[in-house]
Amino acid sequence: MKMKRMKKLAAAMLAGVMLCGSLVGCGGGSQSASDSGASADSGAAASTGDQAQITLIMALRDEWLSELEKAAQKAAGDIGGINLTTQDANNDVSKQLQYIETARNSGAQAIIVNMVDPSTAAQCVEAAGDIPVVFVNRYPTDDSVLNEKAVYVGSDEMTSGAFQAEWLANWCKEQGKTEVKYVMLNGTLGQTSTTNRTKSFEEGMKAAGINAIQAAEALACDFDRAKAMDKFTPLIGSTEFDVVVSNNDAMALGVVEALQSKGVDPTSLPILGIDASKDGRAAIKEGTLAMSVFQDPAGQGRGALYAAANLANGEDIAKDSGFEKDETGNILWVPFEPVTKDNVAEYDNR
Amino acid sequence: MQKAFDKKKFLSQNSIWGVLILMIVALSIARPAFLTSNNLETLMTAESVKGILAFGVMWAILSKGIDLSIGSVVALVSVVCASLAQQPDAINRVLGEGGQPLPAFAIILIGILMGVVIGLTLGAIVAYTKIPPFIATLGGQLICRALSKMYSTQPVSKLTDSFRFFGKGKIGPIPVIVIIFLIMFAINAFMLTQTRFGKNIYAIGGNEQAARVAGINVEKNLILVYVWCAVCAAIGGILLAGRTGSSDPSTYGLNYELDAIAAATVGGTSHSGGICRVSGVLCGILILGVINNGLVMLNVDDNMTNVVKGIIIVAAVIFDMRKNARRA
Repeated sequence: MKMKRMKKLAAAMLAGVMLCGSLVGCGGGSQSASDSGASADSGAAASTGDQAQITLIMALRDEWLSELEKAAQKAAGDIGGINLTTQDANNDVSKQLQYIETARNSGAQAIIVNMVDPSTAAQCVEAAGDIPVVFVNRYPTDDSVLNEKAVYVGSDEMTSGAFQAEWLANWCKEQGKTEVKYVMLNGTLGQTSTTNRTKSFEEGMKAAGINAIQAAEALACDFDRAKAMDKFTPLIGSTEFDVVVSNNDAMALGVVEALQSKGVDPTSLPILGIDASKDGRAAIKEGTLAMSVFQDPAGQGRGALYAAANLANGEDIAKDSGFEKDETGNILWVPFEPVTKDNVAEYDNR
Repeated sequence: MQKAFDKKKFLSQNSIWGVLILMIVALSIARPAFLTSNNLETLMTAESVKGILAFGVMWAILSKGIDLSIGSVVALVSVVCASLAQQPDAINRVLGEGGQPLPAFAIILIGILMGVVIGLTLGAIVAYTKIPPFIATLGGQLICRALSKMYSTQPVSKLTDSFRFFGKGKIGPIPVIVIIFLIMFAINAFMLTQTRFGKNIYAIGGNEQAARVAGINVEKNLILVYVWCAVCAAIGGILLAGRTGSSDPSTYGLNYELDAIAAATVGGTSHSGGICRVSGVLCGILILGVINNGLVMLNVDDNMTNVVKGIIIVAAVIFDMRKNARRA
C-alpha cells in the first residue's frame, strides 16, 4: 500500500519535472526563434519555391559561437532565398562527419563547417563529396585542402596574441622596462586556438625586443573563469609577476576575481584578454582588464554565410560579404582588432 | 568481533591522513609559501564547492550507486540563480533589462528546491525502474547541461553583492564559503553516524536484500540519497556563482562530478557499497586540494598535474580493494 503511494508520488514528481523541463525548453527556444524568426520569414518571402539549401554545422554552442550562428541566420534572411539549417556536433568529430554526409544526401548546395578538430578538414571535404564546403572560425591544420570548392572564413589566430604582445611591448617602453615577468593562462591544451594565441604572443614579444619571462608555469584553465580563479590564486603573494596574459576574457576575469578576493587591486597591473566579450568590455571600461582582442563572431558568421551562398550560386566567394580574399582566393580574412579603454565603446553594438 | 573491525578500519582510515600530512610536509619544505594561512585559505576556498559535491556523492557511492549528474546540476542551478541575482543594469540581462534581482535568500531557496526536484526525479528513476544509477544519472547529466545552455547562451554576470556574500564574503578572517563547507561536513557526519537514515544507507549499500528483509524501505531511502546528493550539488552551484560572480552554462561544473567522485574514493568510500567515513572523504578532498594547489606552486606542468591525480586515484582504489578483500 505504502509502496504504491510512493510510486504514485514518484510518477507525479516525474511528470512535474518533465513539465518544468519542457517549459524551460520552450522559454529558451522561443527566445532564439524570435531572433531567427525574422530571418526565416523574410527568406520565405523572397522566394518560396526554389530556395538554396545551406547547412551550418557547429562544433558546439558556447557564447561566442552562438553569436556566430545568430549572425549567419541573420545574413541568410538578409540575402533572401536561403533555407539555412543548423546543427550542433557537440564537440564530436564523428557526429560532425555524419551531419556533413546527411546534409549532402539531403541535397544541401553548400555546407558551412565549424570544425570540431581542425586536423579533420580533409575528411570533412571528403564527406561533403561534390558539395562546396566553407570552413568557418577554425582554420584547417593542413591548408592544402583549401581550393575553390573548399574555402575558409575566419580570423588568423596567429595575429591575436600578436596584438597582446604589441600592446605589452608599448607598455614596457612607457615604463622603461626591457624585461617583463608574465603569467600565461592557456585555454584547452592541444587546441589550435590555445597554441596559436600563446605562440603568437611569445613571438610578438621576441620580435619587439622585450625579454618576456614566464613567472610561473603556464596555467591551463580550459577557457573557464572558475578554473582560472582556482589555479591563479595560489600564485598571488607567492610569485612575482608584472602582467597576466590570458587566452580569453573569461579566464582573465577569473584572475581579476582572484586578485580582488586576495585584496589586490586588479587595476594595479595589466591583465590582457582576448574576445572582447560583453563581460570583458565592461572590465575594460572599469580598468580591471587592460586590453582585449576582438574576434568578430558576427563578421565570421555573416562572411561564412555569404561565401556559402556565393558558392552555391557559382559566384565569387567575397561578393557582397564586405571582406577581402587573400592572394590564394580561397580565404576570407575577418580581422582581429585590439580593444582598449579608448575604443571599447565602439564594440558595444557590434 | 565488531570492535576488531572498527579498529582495523580506524587504522586504515588514519593511514590516509598520514599521506596528507606527508604531502603537506614535503610541499612546505619545497615551497615555504605553501604553509601560510593565506595559502591555506586559498586552498580551502578553491576546494569548498567540489568538497560539498563530494560529501553528496559519497552517499550515492555508499548506497552502491553513483551520481554523474552533479556537475551539470551545478551548472543549471548556478545559471538560474545567477540570472535571478543579476543587477538591473547588467548588459544583455537574461530576465529582461532593468528587472529587479530577487533577495539572496529567495534565490538560494529556489536553487535548493531545484536540487530537490532533480534529486527526486533521478532518485525515483533509480529506485523504481532498477536501471543502473550510472545510466539514470548520465541521462540527468546530459539533460541538466542542455537545460542550462537553453536557459542562457552566454555567461550570466554582474550579480548582486548580497547573493555573492555566500561565495566571496568573509566572517572575521574566514571566508563564508569555507564555513559553509565545514557546516556541510558536520551535517553529513551527523546524518551518517547519528541518524537512522545513515544506518539504513550503510545497510542498503552493504546488502540490499538483507536491508529489505530487515524492514528498511529501500526505495524511499534511495530516493532520499539522490535528493541529498542533488541538494549538495545545488548548494555548490549557488556558491560557485557567488564566488566567481558569474555563471557560464557551458563550462561551469564541467567534470566536477569526476573530481567529487575522486575525492570520495580517495577518502576510502568503497564502490562496492556500504563502507565510508566522512572524515576520510574530508581527507580525500584535502589531498586533491593539496595536489591542485601545490603543483601550481611547484610550477609543475598542467598535464603532469593530471597524471599525478590519476595515479593517486587509481592507487587509492587498489588500496581500498585490497583492504576490503582482507577484511572479507
